[in-house]
Amino acid sequence: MHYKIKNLIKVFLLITLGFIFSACSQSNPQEYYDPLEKINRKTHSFNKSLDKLFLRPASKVYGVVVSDFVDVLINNFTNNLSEPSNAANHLLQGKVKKSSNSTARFLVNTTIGIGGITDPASRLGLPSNESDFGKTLHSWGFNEGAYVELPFYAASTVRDTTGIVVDFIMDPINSIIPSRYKIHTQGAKLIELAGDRNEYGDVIDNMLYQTEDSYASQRLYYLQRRRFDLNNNTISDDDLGNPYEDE
Amino acid sequence: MRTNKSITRRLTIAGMIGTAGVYAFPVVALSKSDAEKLIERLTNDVLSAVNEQKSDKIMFVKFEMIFSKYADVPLIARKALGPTWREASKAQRSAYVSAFKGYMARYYGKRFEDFLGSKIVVSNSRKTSGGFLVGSNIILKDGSSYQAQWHVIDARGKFLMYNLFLEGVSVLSDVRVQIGSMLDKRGGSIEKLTSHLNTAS
Repeated sequence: MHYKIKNLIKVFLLITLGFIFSACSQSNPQEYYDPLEKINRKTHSFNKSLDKLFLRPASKVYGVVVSDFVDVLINNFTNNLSEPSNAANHLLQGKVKKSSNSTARFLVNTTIGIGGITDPASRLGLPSNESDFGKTLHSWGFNEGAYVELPFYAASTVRDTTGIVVDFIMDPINSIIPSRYKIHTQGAKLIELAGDRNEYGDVIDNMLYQTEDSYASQRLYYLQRRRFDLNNNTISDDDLGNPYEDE
Repeated sequence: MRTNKSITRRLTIAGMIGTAGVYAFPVVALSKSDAEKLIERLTNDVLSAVNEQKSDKIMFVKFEMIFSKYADVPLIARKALGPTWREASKAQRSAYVSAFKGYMARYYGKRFEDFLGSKIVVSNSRKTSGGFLVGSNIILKDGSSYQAQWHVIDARGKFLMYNLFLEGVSVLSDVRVQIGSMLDKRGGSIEKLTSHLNTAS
């Protein structure tokens, strides 16, 4: 109980902090707010060398060693672990239907789906619907805040970073899975990281190693992709800009 | 399908006559289906160029032709360059636009190879000020799909593509970042940028 209260206080502080940061952001969709660019660029080169030295080679090994079949199993397993968190976030956003969908997915896939390595829920008409606390904050009206590149984690914003931390601390899976299995679930997530890097290999290689300014390209791809996702996959008139406006 | 094509052709001819007669007659507003047909023809041309599996060189030449035919290249080039455009002379501008065209064909052409054997379905378009946003789904050979939205504008009585959003990411913004960074590296000189663009990919 005491532990939970402490967590709640931490979350409260984070949200307040996140709000202070995001309150001073711009809202023009064509724009970005990057006051930390100098530090971000340093983190970017750090992340890039990590990718070059470890993640990229690990993903190549993954691509060779792990068959497509096993790749799907690992994918399903880690996705299933995030369903309780999806359910909680949908609920916090007032999306009751999506929340019960995620809960049902978790129950079906954990049992019939053999601990989550297969995904019978999708075939039963319960499609995957991911969510996170960054999205919850967005639905509560928090602004995006400054762009940040996190060490080891790559592109984010103040709002999304707050979301990552809250999701990490409050993840309901922690109270579902006994702590002695935590090493296995974390291990699976780590392997999945190499799997993801392998799956999006060309896109990431292209972004990091073939663009003129990989920092600026990554910032653009992350922010526009994320905003598209938050706006239910729609492009607004603001996003279109004015073709005939002179600059 | 054949009737569709001949209707399209007739519409195109009508459109051409309309453009020619722009001073004599009031301009007929272009419709949503015109915009969608433009994107259908554009994506068909891109996919057939990819599926021919010719050498990169031949493919890039084809992409350059497709780009010139369907897109408002001078406007896109100007937007990609930003404020430097205003300071450039007429000759500098046209040299830049021509180099830009080739660069775009190579830069995106390389990435189009992923579309080998894929399908594009046009759907869910909507009106915007001065044009349409044409929605589409790119379904790759492995079954995964991507959303592509095409911003089509009414360019002097004729529909042309202006921008493309791939999973929400604006290609125009992407090009602006590329060109802006190339320009910065060359001290803001449009001449140096142009000569670089002639071979860059």
